[in-house]
Amino acid sequence: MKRVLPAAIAMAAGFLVLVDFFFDNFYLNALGVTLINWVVIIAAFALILGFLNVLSFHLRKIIQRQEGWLYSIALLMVAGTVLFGGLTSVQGYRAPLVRTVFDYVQTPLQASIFSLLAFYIASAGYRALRVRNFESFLLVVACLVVLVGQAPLARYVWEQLPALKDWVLGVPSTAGARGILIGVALGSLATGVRVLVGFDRPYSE
Amino acid sequence: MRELLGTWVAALLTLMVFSYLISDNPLYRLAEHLFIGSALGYAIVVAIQDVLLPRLFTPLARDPVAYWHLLIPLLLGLLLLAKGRISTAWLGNISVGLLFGVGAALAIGGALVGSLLYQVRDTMLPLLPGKGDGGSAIDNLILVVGTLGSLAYFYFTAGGERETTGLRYGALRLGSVVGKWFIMITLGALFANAVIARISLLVGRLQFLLGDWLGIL
Amino acid sequence: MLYCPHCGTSNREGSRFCNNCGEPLPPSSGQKCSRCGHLNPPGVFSCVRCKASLLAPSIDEGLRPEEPSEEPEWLQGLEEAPWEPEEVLEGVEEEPEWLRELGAPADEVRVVAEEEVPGEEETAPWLEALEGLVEEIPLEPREKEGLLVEITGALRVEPIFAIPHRLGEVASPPLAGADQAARFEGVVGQPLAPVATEERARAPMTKVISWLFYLILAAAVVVGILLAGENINLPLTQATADFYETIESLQEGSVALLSHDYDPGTAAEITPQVSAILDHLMRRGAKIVNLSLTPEGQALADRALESVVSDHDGYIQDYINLGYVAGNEVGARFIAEGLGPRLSPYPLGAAVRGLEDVDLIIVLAGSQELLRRWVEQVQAPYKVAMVAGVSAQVDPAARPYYRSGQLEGLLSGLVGAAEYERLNQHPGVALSRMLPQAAAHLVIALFILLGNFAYLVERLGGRG
Repeated sequence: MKRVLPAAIAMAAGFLVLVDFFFDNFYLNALGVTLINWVVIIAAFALILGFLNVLSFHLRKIIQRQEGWLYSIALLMVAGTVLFGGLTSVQGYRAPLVRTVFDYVQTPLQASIFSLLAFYIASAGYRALRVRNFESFLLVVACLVVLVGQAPLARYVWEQLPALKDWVLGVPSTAGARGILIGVALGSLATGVRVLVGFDRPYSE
Repeated sequence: MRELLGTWVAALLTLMVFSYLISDNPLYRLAEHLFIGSALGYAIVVAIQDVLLPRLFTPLARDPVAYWHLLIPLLLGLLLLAKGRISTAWLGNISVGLLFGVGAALAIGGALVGSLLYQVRDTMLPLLPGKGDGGSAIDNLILVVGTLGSLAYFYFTAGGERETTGLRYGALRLGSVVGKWFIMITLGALFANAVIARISLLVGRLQFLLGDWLGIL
Repeated sequence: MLYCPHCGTSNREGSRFCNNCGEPLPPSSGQKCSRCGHLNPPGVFSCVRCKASLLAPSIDEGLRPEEPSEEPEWLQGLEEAPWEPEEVLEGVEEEPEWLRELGAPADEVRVVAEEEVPGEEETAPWLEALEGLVEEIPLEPREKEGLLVEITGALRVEPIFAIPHRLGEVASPPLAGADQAARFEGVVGQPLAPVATEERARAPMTKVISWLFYLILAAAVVVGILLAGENINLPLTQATADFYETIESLQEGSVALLSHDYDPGTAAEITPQVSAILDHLMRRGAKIVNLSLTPEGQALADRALESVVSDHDGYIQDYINLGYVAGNEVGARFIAEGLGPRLSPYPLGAAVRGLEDVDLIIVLAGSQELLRRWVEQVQAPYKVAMVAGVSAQVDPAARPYYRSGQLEGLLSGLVGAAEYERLNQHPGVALSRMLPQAAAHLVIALFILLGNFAYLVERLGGRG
């Protein structure tokens, strides 16, 4: 029961949606849309589950005074503030408190953390992108052409550089990216089929 | 007033993050945890307000008879929360099964119709006489050779080819060598674009610090 | 930190039984793989030997081995040992061996790999590529990397919309979330400091050199910002021109659907794109439907709409923000099937009864996964015209779709936004940032050249 029920549901729902994907039938379509509607709702519950996991982790950390428990308090306080502001107001996430935290705490923090990478990439550029053989030569040259060619003012380096950059991105790089994309799509296909026929049961213990 | 205070808070948080460049320190740690907390809280508020309320609770509260079928996702959603405890986790698998089944079906359909069909067709068409559009014949040839080569490279290096002699082996081997060149070019372009993206973020942050905060600009 | 092999809960070092489920814990500080029994070092999330996930086996046991190509390279970075070839499965769906082949990863190289925020498929390959090429990467302390990894994990707590790090998750939405939440707990729970101190002690000189690089880069950007103007020599790319033309050809009253699939992490690139696009759409008198597959996207859309609308007095406010849709590819499909009912309570619902009334979909994607979702689930099956504005790091991966005509136009990063502002003849924030952007590009290109020069000298010196 514990094993069969999830598998049966996965296969039945999956086949239905798959058939709906390829065939146009009124009843099938209605069923497919209903299932998809449900999944969107359950997905929101999954988000809450993830939140509860994190919550319990940090609470445990605080209770047990584990290393960094003070940070956990800060984390929970901010999360609590946003939740309080959003859930007690009819405006929800458009409530002033939530907007303020989003605009002046979350946005600058996330943007700054992501921008830190610029520095590391700069130093990685010096240490990592070295021409050792023909393959790495191609990598470094493609990188330089795109990096400099994509810069405004690239024409001052060489008049044809922007055109060359467009060609590199549009032809050889696209060829490689297309190879990767086709490989990825084949992989999705294989994984999806394994789940649908029950060969893989990632949902089951 | 709110904006002025907010700008100062945002600027200080930005500096706290940048302090990591010098070395790891408690200020950075704090900034990071504040961010995670905010992002978590925000995502929950949005999920409740934009998904759970309008799609589930409001219809159910307004007309439970007409929307009786919403009791099913409600039940499945609550079952999912049972995953939080090990003893009840199996109940959640029912909901997870549904998510997986639908997700897998859409992944199959999407990969087939959206990616494979178009990408393979767009690779093969230029070879047919009179079909070359957009770009020169040489570009088309490079695209075809590059795409096939990278696929050969995946196949070959993934151990898909068992023989070590013969025409088939030779062709694959050659294809994989050429394919690797194309993949390296793609990786170079990816690195460059990753650099470009991160620089844009950095420019944004520094412009905020210099302009909005210090008012130099 | 000691992870329970049964339920994945982290327990204090030295605990003998799990706090959560009471199961006995493995004796050493490592984690035993429930699949093959291999004892893994702490901090590893999937088994070094068989690749099975070490997290909460009750949730995702059995999922990992058949993972298709796009593996979480950033996660591999966290792992301590290389793959064992005999474990490699057949066929396309496995880990791309070319990534592995690029060289035995040196310890230091991983540090770089971990610097990158995970989630974007495309980051992984180039980082892996770096591994082969790298000699000595300096000591950016590991933790930070872990932390960054962490942060994306945390951000993406919503399982379904999580940017999958592995292709398998395309087919396994909820798992991704549980998995990420657990991973998140794990990393935040790690006592990471010791590693960093050790590294720092090892080579103070390299650290100073790194600071020098940081300083030069920051200086270039600051000088660029101070000198910036809007008159900059900016070549126009075909992909941007195609994007512009697509919108220019919309009739008055056409319906455009904008999906804001990004967050503050890439907003510096995409918000200027959105402003320029909205500016153009409003001039064309289009009706605009906004929504997002990321929770933060709808908020950023709100702000962009507010600021652009205030510039367009003549525009009859024919737009709406439908907010966030959960569910990943299911969410995209949901929009395609349910747009009409969704809009029916609003005035716009009279004009838009379903996807068939939408003339153009504009995807604003911070990651490749989000773009692929729209193309696969909506563009191809429903044959809707689509253009995309993407973070620059998505650009190369989006090109195949642009080339095949599935995307009729493509805006790439902040540069794309600046080109668009130029086409609009309405200079904005993107153009004002082009000089610092260009300065930083050139500085980093010089770093790369310098590195190669140093390498060349070193090799010549070694021979002599």
